[in-house]
Amino acid sequence: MKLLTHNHLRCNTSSATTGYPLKITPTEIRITDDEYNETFVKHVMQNVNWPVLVQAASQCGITTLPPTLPPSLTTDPSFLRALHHVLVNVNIVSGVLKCPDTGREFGVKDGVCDFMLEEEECENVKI
Amino acid sequence: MSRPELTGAAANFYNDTEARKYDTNSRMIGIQAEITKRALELLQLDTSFPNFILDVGCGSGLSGKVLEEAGHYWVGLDVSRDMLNVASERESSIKGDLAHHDMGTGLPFRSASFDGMISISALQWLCYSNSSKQVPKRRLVRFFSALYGVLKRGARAVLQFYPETPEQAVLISECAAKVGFAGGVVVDYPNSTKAKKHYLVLSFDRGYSTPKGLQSSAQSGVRVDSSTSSKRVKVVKKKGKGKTKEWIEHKKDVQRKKGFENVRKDTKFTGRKRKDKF
Repeated sequence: MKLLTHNHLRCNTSSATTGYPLKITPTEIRITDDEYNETFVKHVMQNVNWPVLVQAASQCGITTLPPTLPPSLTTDPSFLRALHHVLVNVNIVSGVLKCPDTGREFGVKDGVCDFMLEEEECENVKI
Repeated sequence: MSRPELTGAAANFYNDTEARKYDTNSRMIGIQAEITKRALELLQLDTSFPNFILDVGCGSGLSGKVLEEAGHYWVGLDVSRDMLNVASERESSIKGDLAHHDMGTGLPFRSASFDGMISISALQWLCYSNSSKQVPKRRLVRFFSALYGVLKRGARAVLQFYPETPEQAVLISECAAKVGFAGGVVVDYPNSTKAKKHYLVLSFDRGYSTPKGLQSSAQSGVRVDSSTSSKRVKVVKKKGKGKTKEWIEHKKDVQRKKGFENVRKDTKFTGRKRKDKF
């Protein structure tokens, strides 16, 4: 699972208030080699929650990201290249994601996260 | 062929052997790729940059492959772990991410995450319940309201599905309208039994009108509009006028739009008065 995906994931059980961000406890991480794509990085960067990404990266052992995103860096080609690598090429193969509100754990196995919920855990909707 | 939806839960139907069969069946691959391409076309994405797309019911990643070929990054959700295992074995899928998830339980993403959403041949599964706790309508509404949240404003969703009955298509569109989506069902090749495909196209834009279905001489489809479906339209009865030709044609038109198939054709005799001697 990519850190880009993790940046958007939340725990959507009825008892979680925000359920975001999920804490990563990785046991295996794999680096893939997706080709650098500048337009994509620039596009998704606008929608990335930066502090969450910094936190997630450090949970995966990457501590090179700046704690805040200075505007000067957003056009720097070498920075964008590195950011693309962190967002797309760092994959959590196995480990656990934990909801900050409820402590519910979602296991990751073979790169696939298990988000199966019981009907009782789901948000109730009016019909 | 009987419908797989009637045999139980999707996760049970798409087991390891079924998933592998599905992934290697050249007919399946062809159909899924074709539907995904059409869904992408209906999605009308801004293609000046690669988009981040949600694929609900991604299965073995046949649709993801098409997304990747178009240069997009995607996150796939599926209820069958066996299907996902086949998908993760696919070597090329480095632009995609997978999660084991049941679409009837909502969506595990924060708001405004995706540029678009596609779903190929999955939505009809929500119309069936596989345990006493599952209420189809509740699961449908929960899914659509979650979808409303995770899409970026201005994004669209295209969901191809196989309704068993016209009522199912109506139920699905009603649930989508209930949470605030505009849009409707586009029917491609409505006169063919095999090639006929239903696409539910959803948008945030109130004034959004769905694109026309392919090769359709008689355009059919169910319009979703929360402004009319939630409120009951008051019908003012006219006195003494009776059933005029316009009234009959309008009534037939409504029936056709609802998807009823045995509506009489419009002919020169429609709404004509009988001779006195009759």
